[in-house]
Amino acid sequence: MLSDALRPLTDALEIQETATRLLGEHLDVRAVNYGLVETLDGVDHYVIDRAYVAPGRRSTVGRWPITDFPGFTTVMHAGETMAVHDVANDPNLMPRDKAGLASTQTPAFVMAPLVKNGQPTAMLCAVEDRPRKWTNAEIALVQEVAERTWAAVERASAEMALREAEQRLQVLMEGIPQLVWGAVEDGRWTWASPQWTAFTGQEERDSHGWGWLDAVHPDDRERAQEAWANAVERGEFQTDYRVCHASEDRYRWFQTRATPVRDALGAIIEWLGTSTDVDDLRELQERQRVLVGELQHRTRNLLGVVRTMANRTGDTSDDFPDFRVRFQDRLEALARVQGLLSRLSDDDRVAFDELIETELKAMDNSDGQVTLDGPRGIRLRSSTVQMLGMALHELATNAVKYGALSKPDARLVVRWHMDPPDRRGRPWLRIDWRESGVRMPPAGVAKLGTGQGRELIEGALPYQLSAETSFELGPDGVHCAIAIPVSASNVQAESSHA
Amino acid sequence: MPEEKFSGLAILIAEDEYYVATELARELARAGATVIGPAPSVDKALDLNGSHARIDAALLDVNLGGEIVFSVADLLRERHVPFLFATGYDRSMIPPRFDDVVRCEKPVGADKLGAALANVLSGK
Repeated sequence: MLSDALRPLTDALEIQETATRLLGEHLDVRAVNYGLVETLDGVDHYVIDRAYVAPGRRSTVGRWPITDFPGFTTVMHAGETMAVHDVANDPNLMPRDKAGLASTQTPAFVMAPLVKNGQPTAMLCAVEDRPRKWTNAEIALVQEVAERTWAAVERASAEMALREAEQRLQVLMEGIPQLVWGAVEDGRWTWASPQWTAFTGQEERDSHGWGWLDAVHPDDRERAQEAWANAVERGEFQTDYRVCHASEDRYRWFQTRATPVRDALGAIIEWLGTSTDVDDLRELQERQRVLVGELQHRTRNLLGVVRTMANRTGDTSDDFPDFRVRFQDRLEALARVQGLLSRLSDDDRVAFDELIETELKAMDNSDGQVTLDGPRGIRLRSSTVQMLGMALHELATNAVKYGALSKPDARLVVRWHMDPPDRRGRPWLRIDWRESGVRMPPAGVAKLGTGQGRELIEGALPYQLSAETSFELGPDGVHCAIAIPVSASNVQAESSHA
Repeated sequence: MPEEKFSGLAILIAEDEYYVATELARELARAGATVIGPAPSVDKALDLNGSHARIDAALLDVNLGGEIVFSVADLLRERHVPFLFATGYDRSMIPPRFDDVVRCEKPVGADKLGAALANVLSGK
């Protein structure tokens, strides 16, 4: 009868409740407890959370330290069933047990323990609220119900654990960003997770066998098959190949790994594999490689510029203190340009107005005498910025020392504009630097700095930046014109505004 | 650089840094060379290669204004012109076919480049 009642139940709690109720009704007792041994705050307790209690009788739910029941516990640890007709007069119970049982108003009981791996873990306990002479049949029944209940509970728990594990695995397999699949020994697929279909657009059944290769880049198919040829010997499958991404209509790199599932004898039953999208990672790695190379190049180039700067400044300095002042001044200008460049993100460019403002701001006595007139935001090529910055610095330094910025009533006007693209598609920036109100010393005495600035403008800019330049010392001051090709993105930007 | 070390030799310089290029050109000329260039760009270097029937040696900066000089190097190799690279790049950025080409890491002075070039020429 009990087995019939328990068999359809799949839930452990339901089984316990049904078993305790049927037993309680059959024995016509006050209660049947399902008790566990649990550690609470480091102390082992008997815990009764659930019990069948006959209608109108006192509940038996509660928790008690097991040390309150030393005699009871000894019997339970031994895994023996214990039947007590009258607690007060029982010869096997100790005074402490009796006190404890009296406090729970349990004068008679039958207890059947469950000892698992040598540890008492649970008990089924029929409790009466007055002394009762238990028959052997009743005692045997409690024992049998306990055993059957344990068996049913174990089975239900195991089934539930299995169902939960399966469900968790399912959620995991379908929720992870990898493409998951199974294959037999030589690489023929037996199933694919929904991610595979979602990514490749290939129906699950079409991926079976060698069907999955259809989604692999043609150039990578041979390598993928070769990897399978070696997989059994190595006990692992591991390779990178490109898989077609249906929604992007392009191939992306995947890192693919598979592990064999083996039977008890070690033979491979199947392979479980994952393919991880590493396309972004590969792209970043490649980008990083290029960037590191570029950084090396730029750093060494910059050191080369500093070296030249030191040499040229040395050639034209009167003595060491003179060299020190002038070298430091140029080094600072170079640092300002680097500052502008380092702020940039990828497709950013330094604009000409930023460059000239940065340079003139560094000459702090230029207020009121300087007019800057030209459109903002004309983007310079990165390769241009450094040298053009240094040329502007030489012009500005010269103006401060000998030109418009050395005299309170002189003026400096810098105008610029952009010319439409030449036949090579390069727009040109035309810069006009004009100083006025400077009474020039007789011709031949005047110099732009020490000639170094002039060489920069007339030699280096044309050579290195394909610039067209002119430099003249008029009676009123310096007039310098510089035209350089600038970033083609200026043209695109303009046309997109139009 | 000893006087006339490169006496009578026609040497191509491809280098986009004006000051490096001019210094190099001056030093080589002082040592007796006839300087071809200097060329600040790959296009210009290719032009010079095409227009000079005789080139005895070449100094090539790997990166010329953002362009890579290897097309020039390939042409020089076809002509059996010895050359060396001056570069700010790591070895990994240079294709394996140029593994045997001497590289001078930037920044490098004209004197050291000249010495390296003399070595390349004497080893010919």
